[in-house]
Amino acid sequence: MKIFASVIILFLSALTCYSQSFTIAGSNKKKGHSISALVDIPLKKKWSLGVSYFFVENDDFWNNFIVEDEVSFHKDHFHDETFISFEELDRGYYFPEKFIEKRPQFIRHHFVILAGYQLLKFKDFSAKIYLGGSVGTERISQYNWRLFSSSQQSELTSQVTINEGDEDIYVPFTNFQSRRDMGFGGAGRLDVNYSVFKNVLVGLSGYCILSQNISVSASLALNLVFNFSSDD
Amino acid sequence: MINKLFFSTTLIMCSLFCSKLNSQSYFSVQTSGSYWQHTELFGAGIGVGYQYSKNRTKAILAYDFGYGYNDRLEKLNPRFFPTIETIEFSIDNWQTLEMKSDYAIQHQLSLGSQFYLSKNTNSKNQLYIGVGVFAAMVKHFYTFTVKEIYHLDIIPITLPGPYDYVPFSHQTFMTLGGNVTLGLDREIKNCIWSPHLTLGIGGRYSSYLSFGVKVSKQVERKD
Repeated sequence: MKIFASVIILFLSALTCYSQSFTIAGSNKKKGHSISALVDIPLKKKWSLGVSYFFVENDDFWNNFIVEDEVSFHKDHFHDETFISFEELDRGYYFPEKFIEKRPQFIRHHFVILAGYQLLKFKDFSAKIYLGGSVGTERISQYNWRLFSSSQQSELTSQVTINEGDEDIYVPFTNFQSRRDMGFGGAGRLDVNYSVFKNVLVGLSGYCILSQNISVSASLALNLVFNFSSDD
Repeated sequence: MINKLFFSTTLIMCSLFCSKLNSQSYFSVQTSGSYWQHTELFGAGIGVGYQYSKNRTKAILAYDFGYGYNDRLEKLNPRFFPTIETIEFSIDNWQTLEMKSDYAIQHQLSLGSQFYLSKNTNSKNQLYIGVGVFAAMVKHFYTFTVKEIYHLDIIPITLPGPYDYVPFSHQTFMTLGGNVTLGLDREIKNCIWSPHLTLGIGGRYSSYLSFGVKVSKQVERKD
């Protein structure tokens, strides 16, 4: 009798995650990487219930505009007394000597509940398909400076006046957008695995999530399956 | 870089699984909650691991993925929330967007040993202490402060304020250190459940304190 029967599948993105978004700006393709974990609880016969967490991080938007990495503005102006003073700047953070600033990215968290069905089991091979619903949160951060004016591309700063009559001071990257959002949607997943040991399987997994704002994340990744089932 | 780290970790783990040592090998999955000094954030994590057991000692290789989040802007000045007006620079399209801070993503690889404190190896509950080393790659988005400004010049345009200026940055760095773990192994239904407390001490402000639960099971050969 199966007393404690659960399979935990960990899904590492050795390959890549490809995200296709059809949001405000129209078709916006972004490559990135992902990681997910799925707990699969066997139900009756070939059916199972899966609970999954899926994390997607897309590549740096900034790479679309400039080729070379640039040294952080904040690092450069850390000891610059003419620069705006931030007491919170010295929060004990580590700033590497060769600090390379990466621009904000597109990040998504998805929590998915899936119904799983075993399509086939042949010798050491098995295939399983999942369908279900997802709840996702996303964070989109984007610098828009380069989009504002092509003639300003060499300038990475703006000027601000804090109080009326004060001199202008330079500040970095004032124009960006950043938002959080939440959406509901559906998800599908196909796993094909090979049993290396009795309770350890490796394979490939395809994942597709369609969320409320009509965006699609699709990925293909390496699968590690750990089987915690026990028959007593 | 991250993909290479994932891929290398996966390959190492697969190689270890396929080795002849599997009769004393365990695989494990774990979840944890941590406080990270490097980013001053609380993070949640998931991970996988491989353990090789001999006598009262275990060698452990583990990978952990963590994500932490803290809304510092809200703490700096609550009047700005729930929304902060930011500017989207298409001239005639101004939007109000919700902005939050900070977050960090951490990929941690650790290698260590675990020693049982009890001499009775048949006991279902065994207290253990572990020591090891870790390497972590951290990606951190953070805001410094919120400052009200009078006006903003973006040559050749001057935009009259007031605006809420929010300086922010994004850094990626790597840290190294050592860790000490105190935990309890309890065998339940052929699996070993291990609640554990880990203290990591590293350079570059990379110390951390973590509480987690690990579930491990012995690798079983096919008939």
